[in-house]
Amino acid sequence: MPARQAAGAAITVIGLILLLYGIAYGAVNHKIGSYATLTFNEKEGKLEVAEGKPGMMDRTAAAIILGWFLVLIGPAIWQGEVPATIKSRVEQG
Amino acid sequence: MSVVMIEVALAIFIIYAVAYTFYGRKLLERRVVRADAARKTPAVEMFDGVDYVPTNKYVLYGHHFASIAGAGPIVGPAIAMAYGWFLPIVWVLFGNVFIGAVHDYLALMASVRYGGLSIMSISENVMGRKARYIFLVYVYGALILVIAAFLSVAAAVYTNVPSAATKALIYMPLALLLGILMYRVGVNVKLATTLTLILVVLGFYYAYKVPLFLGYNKAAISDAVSAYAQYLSQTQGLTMEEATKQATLKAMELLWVPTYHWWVIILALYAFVAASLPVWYLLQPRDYLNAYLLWAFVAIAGVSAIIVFDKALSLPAYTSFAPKIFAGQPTPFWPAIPLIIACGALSGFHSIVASGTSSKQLASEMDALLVGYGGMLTEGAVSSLAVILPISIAHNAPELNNINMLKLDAVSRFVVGYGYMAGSAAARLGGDFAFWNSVFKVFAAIALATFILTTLDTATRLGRFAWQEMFDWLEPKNTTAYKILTNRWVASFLAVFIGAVLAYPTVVIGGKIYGAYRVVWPAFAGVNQLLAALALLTSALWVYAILKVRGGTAWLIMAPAMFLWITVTIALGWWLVVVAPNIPAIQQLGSGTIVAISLILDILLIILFVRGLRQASQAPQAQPA
Repeated sequence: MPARQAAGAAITVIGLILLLYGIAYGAVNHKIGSYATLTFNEKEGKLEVAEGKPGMMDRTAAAIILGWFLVLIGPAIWQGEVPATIKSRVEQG
Repeated sequence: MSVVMIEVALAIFIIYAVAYTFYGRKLLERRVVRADAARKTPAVEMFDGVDYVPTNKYVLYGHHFASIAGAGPIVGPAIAMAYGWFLPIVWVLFGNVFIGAVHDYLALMASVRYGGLSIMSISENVMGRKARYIFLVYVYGALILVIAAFLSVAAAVYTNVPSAATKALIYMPLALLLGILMYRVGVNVKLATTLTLILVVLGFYYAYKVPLFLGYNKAAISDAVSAYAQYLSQTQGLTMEEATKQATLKAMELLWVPTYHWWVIILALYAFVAASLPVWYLLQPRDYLNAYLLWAFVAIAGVSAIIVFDKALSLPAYTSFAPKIFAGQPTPFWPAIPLIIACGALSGFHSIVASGTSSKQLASEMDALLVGYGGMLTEGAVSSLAVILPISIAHNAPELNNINMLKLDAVSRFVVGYGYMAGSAAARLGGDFAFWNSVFKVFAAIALATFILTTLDTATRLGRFAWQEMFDWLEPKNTTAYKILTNRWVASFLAVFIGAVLAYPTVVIGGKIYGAYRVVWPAFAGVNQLLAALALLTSALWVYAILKVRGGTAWLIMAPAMFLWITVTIALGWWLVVVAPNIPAIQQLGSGTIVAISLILDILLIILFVRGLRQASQAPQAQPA
């Protein structure tokens, strides 16, 4: 297998693993990723972050998003050439 | 006298069937364009495996529709219900049949006859080289605005509705899977489609149950926001409404904005990748899947309209000729209606899609009517059957506690109306209204959200095409520079990068947070419809000068083109004088400048059009092969 195709196959497999991990995690925990919460500080009269960090992307969310990108790109590198079914359609005119 | 559903629905069905058969097939296809199955299309002749790829007509129809739809055929008509239901439906039908569908079909066919070039570049053949570059620069700017808007809207949707984000992450790989099954593994199309559709339904259910959070959850901050609003109300003497607005704004600045930023970056990367990959790889299988959702969406509306045939349209047929729509100002139906209802009746963006991605995938000239004319009529069907009629029967419905539909925002009008009509139809068949009403409301929201990403990556691809066509003069002078500048990855990156720069920063307008693009967004409706007028004028000139169509048939195209140009030009002038002074200062500057520039270009291009028309009358040109 040429290096380019091997790299494409590896990217696809890694992407699939990450994507499936994210999906499985979501199925078990009923959510993917996490979020911060707010509290009202009566003393100072302002809103404050109570838990977590604004804009936080936890490991699971990062994994599924990275996996998604790898799955979008990987097969294109792996099987980059135009499929024979499309070529034959062009040849038939 | 009350009008019932079936009377209007039947009229719509008949008008579309007659329009497609007689106006579309017999007039446009046979007498004007003289489509020929034997003539090779650019997809076949210039096949490159990336952008020029012949495609099954139903798949292409799905791509074309999903790309031109966006939120346009839904939001515009829902806003226009302020006129009552009669005027919007008249405009949708008239605009659809005589302007919008003609505009889309001719742009598609003109592009097919010119090797897949955009309508902007085709203008060179009938209006001269200057027109081409003015047009291309103008359209490139408009496309950047579309990319920015859809990046921002999609990022906001995924931030506010985390389940929609999960759905997108599941849906795209499934589209890829379908393509691999069909093209690579050689699985029978029906089997591959059935398998994928089952997975899509399971994926939707999964997404509904498993939201994807990137730091923000609206439900988790409501208590803190209420407490802060209470505090603001007591200490600063604000009304509860004003205090809640301020508290929400503060909370969003703290938590919403960082998550929104993440999504802008992720979606910009997605648009860059998706717009650069070959069309057969992601775009075609995804749009093939989209087509099923689209057909289900329209079919449910059509069948429901028949089942609840006797429901009265309880929204008034006519309320006022000038209700307050834009910036709280009386908005006269004419000339302002094209600025309100775009995609449902006509839209300039369609000509860029038709002469951009669609024309490069058309396998036969005989497929163009279904894709170009049929795609536009389907948009009109969405606007009339799935938006205007449902909203009209849901108004004051006892099952919805006599709701006043005109008090809801545009998207809610659509979701509530669609849910009500389909839910009522299900109830007539023995189902539980409350259950089916909520199911179809979710379905309507999903249908609306599904096309956002499609429009985003198609607009990026179109931006790439426009950019590449802008530099054709460079090729003979410096081939290396031309190759670098027009490289598909470079050209896609530029379009996405500028779009993201406009979407990433946030601004506060009227107490709400938006992407910075919003500063110039109010001008977009005008820019888009001016583009429609110019594209239709170009097509009309192509028909007259190149195809040599004369007499009444030529006028059937030229007259709507002139009508549209006059309407849109006056509407832009009206907008500058009446609306612009009443919008926030930052938008006055941004949007006002864009509309003023548009009017100047408008005049320049109409001068070139008149010159082209005069030349065409005096020195006929040869028809392209």
